[in-house]
Formats: sequence, C-alpha cells, structure tokens
Amino acid sequence: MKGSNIGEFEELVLLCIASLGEEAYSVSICDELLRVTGRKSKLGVVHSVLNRLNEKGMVKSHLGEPTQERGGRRKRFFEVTHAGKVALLKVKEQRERLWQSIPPLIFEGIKI
Amino acid sequence: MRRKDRYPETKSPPKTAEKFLAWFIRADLKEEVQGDLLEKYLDHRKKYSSRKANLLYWYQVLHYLRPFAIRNFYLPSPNLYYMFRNYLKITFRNLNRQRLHSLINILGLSISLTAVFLLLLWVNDEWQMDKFHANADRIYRLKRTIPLEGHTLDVYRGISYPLLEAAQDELPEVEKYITIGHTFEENLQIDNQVIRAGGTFANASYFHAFSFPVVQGDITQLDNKIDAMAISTTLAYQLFGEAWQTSALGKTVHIHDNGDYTIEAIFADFPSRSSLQNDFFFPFQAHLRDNEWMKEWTNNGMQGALLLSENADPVQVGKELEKIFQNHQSGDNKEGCFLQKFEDDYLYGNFNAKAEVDGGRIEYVQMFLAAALLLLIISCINFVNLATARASKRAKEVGVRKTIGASRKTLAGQFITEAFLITFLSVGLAMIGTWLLSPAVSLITEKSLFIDLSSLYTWITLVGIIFMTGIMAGAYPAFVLSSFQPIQVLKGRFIEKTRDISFRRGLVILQFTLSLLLIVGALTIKAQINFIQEAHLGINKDNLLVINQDAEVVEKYEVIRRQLEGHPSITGVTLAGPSPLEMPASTSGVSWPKKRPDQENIEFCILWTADNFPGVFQVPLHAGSYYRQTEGPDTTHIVFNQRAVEIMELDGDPVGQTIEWWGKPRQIIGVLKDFHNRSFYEKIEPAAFLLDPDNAGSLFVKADEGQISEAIAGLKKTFTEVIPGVPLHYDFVDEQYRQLYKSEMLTGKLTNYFAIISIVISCLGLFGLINFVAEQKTREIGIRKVLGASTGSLVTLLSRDFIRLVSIAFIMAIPLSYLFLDKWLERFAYQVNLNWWLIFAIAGFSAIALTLITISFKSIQTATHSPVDSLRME
Repeated sequence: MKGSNIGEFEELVLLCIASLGEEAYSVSICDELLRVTGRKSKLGVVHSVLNRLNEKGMVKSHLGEPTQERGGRRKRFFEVTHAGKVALLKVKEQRERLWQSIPPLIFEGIKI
Repeated sequence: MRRKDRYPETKSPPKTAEKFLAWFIRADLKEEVQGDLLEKYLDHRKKYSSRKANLLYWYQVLHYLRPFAIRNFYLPSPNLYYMFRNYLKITFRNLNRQRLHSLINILGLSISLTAVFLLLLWVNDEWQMDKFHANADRIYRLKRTIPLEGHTLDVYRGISYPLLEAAQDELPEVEKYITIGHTFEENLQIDNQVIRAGGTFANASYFHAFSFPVVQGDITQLDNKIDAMAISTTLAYQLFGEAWQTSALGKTVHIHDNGDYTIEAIFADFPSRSSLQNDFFFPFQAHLRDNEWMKEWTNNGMQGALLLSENADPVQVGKELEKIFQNHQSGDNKEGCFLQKFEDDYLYGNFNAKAEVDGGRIEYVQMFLAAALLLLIISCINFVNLATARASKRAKEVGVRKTIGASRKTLAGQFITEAFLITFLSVGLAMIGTWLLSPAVSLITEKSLFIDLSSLYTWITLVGIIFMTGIMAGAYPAFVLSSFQPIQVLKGRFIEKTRDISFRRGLVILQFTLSLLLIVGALTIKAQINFIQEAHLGINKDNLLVINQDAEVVEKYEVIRRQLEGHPSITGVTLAGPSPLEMPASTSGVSWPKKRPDQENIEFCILWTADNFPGVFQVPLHAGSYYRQTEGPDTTHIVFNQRAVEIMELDGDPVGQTIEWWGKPRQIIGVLKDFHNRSFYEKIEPAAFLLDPDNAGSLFVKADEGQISEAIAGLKKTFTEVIPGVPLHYDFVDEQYRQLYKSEMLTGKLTNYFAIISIVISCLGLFGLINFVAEQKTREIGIRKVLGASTGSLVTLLSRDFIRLVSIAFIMAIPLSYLFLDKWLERFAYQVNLNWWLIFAIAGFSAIALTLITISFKSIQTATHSPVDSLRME
C-alpha cells in the first residue's frame, strides 16, 4: 500500500499511456492529454511526472529508433508496469465504491 | 544569406534556446528531450507562424528547468582523489623519464625562487624597520623646512630644543617630547678597563615613548640626576663581565671628554629593526649644560620627536607648532616645521622642493621587488617554453586520454597540477637554498635575515608564491596541450600551429630582453659607483687616518704634532672638523654687500681647521693664501671656497674684501678650490674655513704611500708616550667615504647577481630548447648529412633561429635600458660620462657569446653525429 498512491495528474498520465499502447512517448502523451482533458500541459511537466512514476515503479521505458524528424534523436517509449496497472485498478475501484454510495438524486439535472 | 533562406525546408528552433537547453539539461535526458521538443516545434511551425513557434519553443525549454532535469553542476566525485594520485604518478614518471629536461626546469625555477625569497626577506626587513614600537602610531618626528631661492623648501631633521619644550608646554595634544641626539662613539672607562661604544644623550621620555625595555634600575633618573647614565646589557657585560646583573648598577663610569656618570639603569639591547642604535645614554640636561647655545631658538643642534595623545591630528599639531616656531623668528623668509610619523622616516626620507615626501629608501625596496618579479617571470617563461616545445611528446598521451573521455578541462587540470607539483618541488629546494645562503646575504646587507617559519605571514607568502608561479608557469602549457585533437594526434599527423611557435619565439625574445636589461643595468651602476669612488674629489682622502678629538689631544696637540711629523712614514698632521668630506655643520649667519632677501637662508658649510689644512688634504688655493698660525682662533680673517665666492658675487678680486660673519666683519684672505663636500648626489655647497684648531673635531694623520702600518705604529707610540690615558682609535678616511655610498654599492652588488642569475636561467632555457630542437631534427640532419651537407651548414641550421631571436632581443633592449638608466643617473648631480656604445657592445656581445656557447655544444654534437645511427631509428 505504501507508495501506491498516485496523484490526480499522475493517474491521468498513466491512463493515457495505457490507452496509447505502443505509441506512448512524451509528445503523444501530451497530445492525448490535451485531447481528452483539454489541458494544455507543457512537455517539461509531463516529463517530470513520467520521471516520478518511473521512480515509483509504475511505469517503465525503453529507447526507440532514431528518426529523421527528430534530428536523428531517439524517442523514449513508456509502458505501464504491473504495479501501475494495479494502482490504476485500485483507484478505479475506490471511485466506483464511492459513486455507488451516493444517491442519484444529488446529481439530478446537472449537465456538463 | 541565412541558412534558413537557402534551405527553406530546414526549420530549426531558436539557437540560443537550444544551446541553453543543452547546457543545463541532465546528460541522460538530453537526447530524448531535445527530440521531443524538436518534434513539438516542427508541429507548431506547421500550424502557426514561425515567431509563435519560436516563442512556444522557448516556453517549453524554460519549463524544463525543473529539479529533476537539471544536470549536476557540482562534481564532488570521490574520483577526484584517485585522479590526483594518477596525476602524481604520471608527473613523477615524466620527470624521471625526461631527466635532463626536468633538471633544467626545476633548477631554473629553484634558482630564481631562492633569489626571490632572499629578496623578499630583505624587503620585509626594510619594511619592518621602526614599526615595532607599541606607540608607533603616536610618535612623530619633528622636521624643519627652510625656504630657499625660487620658492623651494629644504627639509632638515635638525630642530631647536626650545621648540621641543614649547611643544610640550603649550600644546595639549603633545604628551611628551623626546630628544634624539646624534650617536657618536666614546671611550668609556671603569677602573682600568676602557670600552669604546656608541651612544648619545636622551631624556627619560625616550624610553617611555619608544619600546626599548628597561631591564634594571630606574630610567627616570635620566631626568632627575644630572650625572645619571643608562647602558645596554651588552655594554654592561663588556664592562662588568658575567656578573653585571649584580655589579653594574650604581657604579661610576668615566666618559672621556665628558665626565663621570653613575649607572642608574640598564636597558635591553636595541633590536636590529631599529634605526636608532645606542649602547649608552647620558642625560639630555647634562648635554644642555655643556652646550648652552642649544637653548637658542636659532640653533638647531639636535633631532626630536613628539608623543601625541590618542586621536591627535598630526597635521593640526604641526601647523600650531609652526605658528609658535615662527613667532620666535624675525624677518621674512621664516623657517617652518611639520610632523612626520617616526616610522616613516626610514623609508620615506627624501623630500622634494615643496617639502612633500618624495621617496628615499622606499625606492630601493620598490626596485628590488620589481627585480624579484622579473626573475620569477624569466624562469616561468622558461617553464612555459620548454613545456610547449615538448608538447609533441605528450601529444599521444593527450589523444588517448581524450578518447577515453577526458574533457578539455580535466586535461588542463592535469597539466596545471603538474606545474604546481614542479613548483612545489622547486619551492622546497629554494627554501633549502635560502637557508644556506641567508647568512652570507645577511653579511652583505648588514641585516639578520632568516625565514621565520613561525610567522603566519611567511606561510601566506609562500602559498601565494606557489600559487602565482604555478599559474604563471602552468596556464599556457595547459591551454595548449589540452587543445590537441585526438584524431590528428593518434594518426600521427601532429603539426604545431604557427601561432604557438610564434608565441614561443616571442617568449624567448622577452626573456633575453629582460636579461639584457639587467646586464646593461649592472654595468651602468658599476660604472657610476666606480666613478664616485675614483673620482677626483678635489680633496685627497687616501692614506689618511682620522682620530676623533679628545680634550687631551687638543691640549697636547703641538707636542703630538711635532713627534708625528718626525716619523718617516708620516707626511702631515692636522686638525679639522667636523668632517671635510661631509661638512654637516653650516650657518646662514653670513652677510655680504650684494646679499639679496631671497638669499637669506643660504647655508654656508663650516669647517674648523688648523693652519696646515690645505697642505695635508692637498686642496689647492684658487686665490690668496691660507691662515697663519695664531694664538687661539683667528676671528678677523676668513677663507671661502670658490662656490661661496660665486654666490656672494663680489666685485673684482675677493681677496682683501670684507664680509660679515656671525655679525662681525672679517677680511677674506684666501679662496680654496672647490672640492666635493657633500655626497655625490648634491652639488658642491658654498663653504667657509675657520682657523680654530681647538674646536676642530678630529686629528688627521697622513701617511706615506704604502707606509700605513708603520704610520699606525708611530701613532700608537706617540699616543702612549704623550697621552697615556687616551686609548687610540682611528679610522681610514677613504673607508668612511666609501660608507656614504653603502646603498649604491649594495644595489650594484645585487644587480650584478641578478644579471648573472637571469642570464644563467635564460641560457638554461635556451639549452633546453635547443636540446629539444636537436632531438626533433635528428633524422633531418641525418638525411642532410648523407646528401652531403657540411658540419658548418648543419650547425648554422640549428642555431640560426636562436641567434636571430637573441639579436632581436638585443635591439629591443637598447632603447628600454637607455630610458631606465638615464632616469636613475639623474639623481646624481655628477654623472659618469657613460660610453653608452661600449656598454651596449659589452652586453650584447656577452649575450651572444653565452648563447653561442650554450648552443654550440649540442649543435656540434648533433651535427657530427653519425647519420647511420639516426637513420637506423626507422
């Protein structure tokens, strides 16, 4: 349980990585985040989160092939680890439980 | 055209941002971050204008300034320790492998560092003079200014006693006045023992203000009892032996010509860093009693200092004192006075025409400091030259190191460390050298010089020197050596940049120019000193003995004279004083018909003489005749020198004219030819000669050429016979004269040594260089020989370059040295007429000769080397 708590942004990033599958690297994660949440996050911020997730063991990475568009520089691809998946599921479960115990009447009539 | 315009499809982010990112980003993140940002940028370029894309790029870059992404600027690395050990190892291995080269390097550095240390010791000693007094910042010397023609001021140390007294009585800021008398030698007698010592008069404040500790007794008795006396511990030991501590106090000592005094106090020996040196003191009041004339405001027969209260303003006190002083004077053109800090007098003793400090011994200190720096530079140049010349040998090492990942900075660090290590070694050797040489140097400079390892300053200076030398010597080679490109070097295609070669050549020229400067300087100073010593002074000081006056000598003068003149080795005996070669006594109490108001303060030197003065001293008469022997002093006649007559602008023949001397008329009966009566720095002063043998201070005995020892024997005999109670003590006049120029002689000696050391070091450097060049060219020479080159042409090949450099150095040194030395000679009123061409010729010739000798050995050896051996190396 220790260290398996993830912040809101970290959770979002993890979900993005999971949804992107093979193509999850910092730029695409950033784009996906933008597409889903509408938040324009800077590369530096995302990278910092990725670093933290890596340290917590929720994410692992590997270097890809160099490409012409990046001036010959390689990309770093990210993958959610087992621990990361567990953490995500746990969070999802916690949310669901909380939602279930809320009477639907409270959210009647609210549109997003 | 910009690259963007030529290749429009190449879009790149702003360069500065890229560079900035590359600089701060952590190394392992660098690649992916740069890639990511580039991708984003290109994306933006498609959607937005280039300006917006650039801005966004900057935006992104700046947001990478997060703790996790910034590289580690601080390199603690435990590796540092191991690296250092590696450097040490490599340095020693290199030193061992290139023994000759290392020897040259270390030797050169050690020699010059030794010289530098000795110099710094001397400078330090001079600097510390008189600074040890606890009250040093409150003690001020009183100095007097005299207005002369043309609004110039002359500064004197002599002041009048009433002024000192008035200072203490009338000015509240003055706590005490201190009497400073001229130190003279006297014979002190206790029971039957006679010791000769130096001392003077003083009041008790002398010991209260200055830090001269009193060991026994009560020093205030110097003020209370008129027959009190204080002596130093050394003198006590000399007079009373081992038991002086119990037996000295209270005893009576007889000072010849002065009287009997009782020892009331014993003081510790004056330290060597005191400009005042005395072994005994008798009360100032006693001196005053015997010299009533000192009580007059117009007589300035002593020196003095004032102890001011805390926070007193010396300038203010000086001004008020001047007011008091001038109140007691009459007429226009009044003399003035001011205060100078006591400790400053030693180094800053010269004043210019406006009575402002204008140098003095401090100039010598500055000169020697500059010389020390010069020497250090010359040997650092050596180091730099040799290191960069041999760069090609280290090239491979550099290449390999760079390949396995050493940065340029690391390499530079390595080479500087090497330089520091070598400097360290040299400093160690230099310390040993200094320790060995300091006794000898102490002797020459008459100081006690030694390295004080307990003083913090010593260590700070040492570290500072090591640092400075290490950087000076190591910086450029480190720069050059670390710049080698590994690819070129490892492939073997190592070619030296022309820039580096020219720099080296420039350094050699600089080195030799400096050395030549020193050589020319040494030669010039030597010439001037010789000139001073040998110059025709107008007065003969050879074979002349001087015996200081004693009341008994004066009494029995006639008897002594007759006896001595009868001696075959003695050609003349006379009385004269104070000193014909220095004429310290002077007066302005002379009046003549054409005297102008601005000549009010002209001082005429005075010499009291006996009637045979001109004969014994061989000073010819310009006009008239000298005195005839009379009963007692002659007060109606007077004799001047030419300069005096010049100033007085008498019409017609001066002989027979009347002038006023000390208020009474006198007739001029003779004019002596001018002779140098002051130091060679100054022009000949106007002088007057009085007939008054009783007041003439010293007995002069002239011996025959080569008969000095016989003359001395005869003198001794006469003394024992006629005046048995008076011990004989004599000096040689020409020796005394030489003493006047001690500083110049010291300068001359030291400059000689410098010149020698610097040329030796330069030649050492040259030797190293030519060794190296010879090594490099071994194969080339071998091939040339095979093709038929003569030995001569090969030698020329090797040496031509160096000779050319030395010649350029010579040409540059000529105008520079001329400038400096002309300025130095200006301080002498009488300069030697230098044959400049001769000096330059000698300097240049010796430089080239030494260069040739240095190179010849190696070049001839290489040229005659069998080509078979050198070519076989393939």
